[in-house]
Amino acid sequence: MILFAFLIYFAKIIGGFMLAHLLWPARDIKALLLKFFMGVGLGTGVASLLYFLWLWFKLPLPVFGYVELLLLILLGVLVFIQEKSKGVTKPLMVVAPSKSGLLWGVLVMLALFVAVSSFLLRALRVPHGVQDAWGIWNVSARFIYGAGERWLQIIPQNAWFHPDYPLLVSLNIAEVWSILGVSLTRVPIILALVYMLGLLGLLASALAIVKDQQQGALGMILLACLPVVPSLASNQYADLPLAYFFLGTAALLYIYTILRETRLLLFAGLFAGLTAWTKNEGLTFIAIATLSCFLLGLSEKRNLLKYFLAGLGLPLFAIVLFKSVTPTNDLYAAASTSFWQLLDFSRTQVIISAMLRMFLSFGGWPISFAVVLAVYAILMFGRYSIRGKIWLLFAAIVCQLIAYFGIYLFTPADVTVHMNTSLERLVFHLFPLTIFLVLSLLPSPREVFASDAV
Amino acid sequence: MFFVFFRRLLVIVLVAISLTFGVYHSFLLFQIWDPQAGVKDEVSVWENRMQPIKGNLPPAVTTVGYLAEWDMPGVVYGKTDQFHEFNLTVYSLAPLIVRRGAEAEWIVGNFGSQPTKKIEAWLNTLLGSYKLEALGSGIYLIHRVKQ
Repeated sequence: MILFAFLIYFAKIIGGFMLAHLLWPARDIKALLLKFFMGVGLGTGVASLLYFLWLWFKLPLPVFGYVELLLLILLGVLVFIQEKSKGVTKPLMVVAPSKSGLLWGVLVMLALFVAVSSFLLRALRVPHGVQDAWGIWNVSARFIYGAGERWLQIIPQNAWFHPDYPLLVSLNIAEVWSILGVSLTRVPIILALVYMLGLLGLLASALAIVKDQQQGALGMILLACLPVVPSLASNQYADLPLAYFFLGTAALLYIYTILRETRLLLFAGLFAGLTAWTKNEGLTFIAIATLSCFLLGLSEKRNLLKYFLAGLGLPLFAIVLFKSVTPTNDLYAAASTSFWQLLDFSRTQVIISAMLRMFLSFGGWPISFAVVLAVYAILMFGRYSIRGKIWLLFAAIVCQLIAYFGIYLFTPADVTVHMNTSLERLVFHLFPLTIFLVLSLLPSPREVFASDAV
Repeated sequence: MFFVFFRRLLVIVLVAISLTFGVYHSFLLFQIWDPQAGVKDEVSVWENRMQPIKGNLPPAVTTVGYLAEWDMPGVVYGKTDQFHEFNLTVYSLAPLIVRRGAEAEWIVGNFGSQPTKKIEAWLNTLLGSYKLEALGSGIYLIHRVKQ
């Protein structure tokens, strides 16, 4: 059963990869790797959107799994036809790795072992996840799985905590339970592991395109060895998938400015939509990413927004339908009475100092990861290199942080309690993207160890 | 030359620090590893407590009521614990809808260590005619009986 659950998620990843390859048929190894790790989000994300729409339009539930399988086969056929039509007859050439490549490979394997073992050691201690996991995401999955067609009628009844929270995680769990015919506790754990590995791979493959494979390996090692990563993953919160989609959206927008491939903007739009399909914090990120794409188009005197919006369309459609039946979120419900908190400067001070303390202590190392990374970045002085429009990454991080600041400024809850229960997770949303930004600026290990290094 | 060597050293130190802290964290987790931890997890324990509820409810029931110590007059309780146990009950019984209060025909009672006589005396004033079934660990299934 557990192996079957793994296979179902792997099939979704392959489906996502094929979708990406169909739309962006680049065959170099770096592009293929990026598409594979994009497949985690594309496959699980699009599948959850389709499942939601299937439920919304009251189509027969037992048929959905077969429809998904047919779509997978169809994607495979289309990719095969596409490859044949390009006259591609040679298999992909894989060059034997150099000694340094082998060394980095070993280091990456060690880092992955550390991340996966830490994840499993924690996840098996808390098989239902930590409170928000069973109280929000997994209970939502149980209602979707158990109530079936009745589920949409139950949502407005406020039957569980925060039924307004988006559905990517819950639907992915519920759908696999439906296929298996049983609500296995291990399924949410497997999904969490899939997203953790997806996040690590996405960071590495995106850095490989922006810099090279060794910089990708370095990024993956840094992120995998941060205790907060397997910790948050094993908690089964939706924060790690959200960090994945934040990274994906911003990285794809940025990589477009390097590769000039407009199809990447379509994926960026889809990923942006999936941020809000994962957690409500994605709603502000959609606005930030859309504005960024618009400004990018203005700077290039091209209508780039049409590609982005084409990708955003499907998730946005599902989000609008979903929000039309959910109860109002408690933060928005109290917005009018909390407006005056804007003028409370002591509140601003409390929030800013808490955020600064969190950045400095974030990660779970005995020493500050932020300080270590900053020192590393500063000491690589004189060797910064910038490709493409890196301001996109800065804008995404800074604007989303401002949005989080605003949430704490206006929260109707006690701000200290609210921050104690959420600030670490909010910072985590942007951490992989921050590592991506920093390493995109710095020389890679390959450049540093090159014989002609200066 | 010095700067070339220094930057190479930086890369090595950064990777070494990362892997060291990562391995150390895994080691700490391994030291506290308990193969029975998953079974002792509070959610797993609560799920087991709720199993008899699911087993004793008629299949057509979609909503149950919920009464606990925080509803009983004169009982001292921890609000956080009560709220936590209510959420655990919602999770364990999903997709059954669990509503606080005694309006539903079937009601889950979570009365901790309260004596059964005290519970019955209170329910007599609240419900009228009912059947009370003790399921262990302070969990009860209450069925309002129509007269």
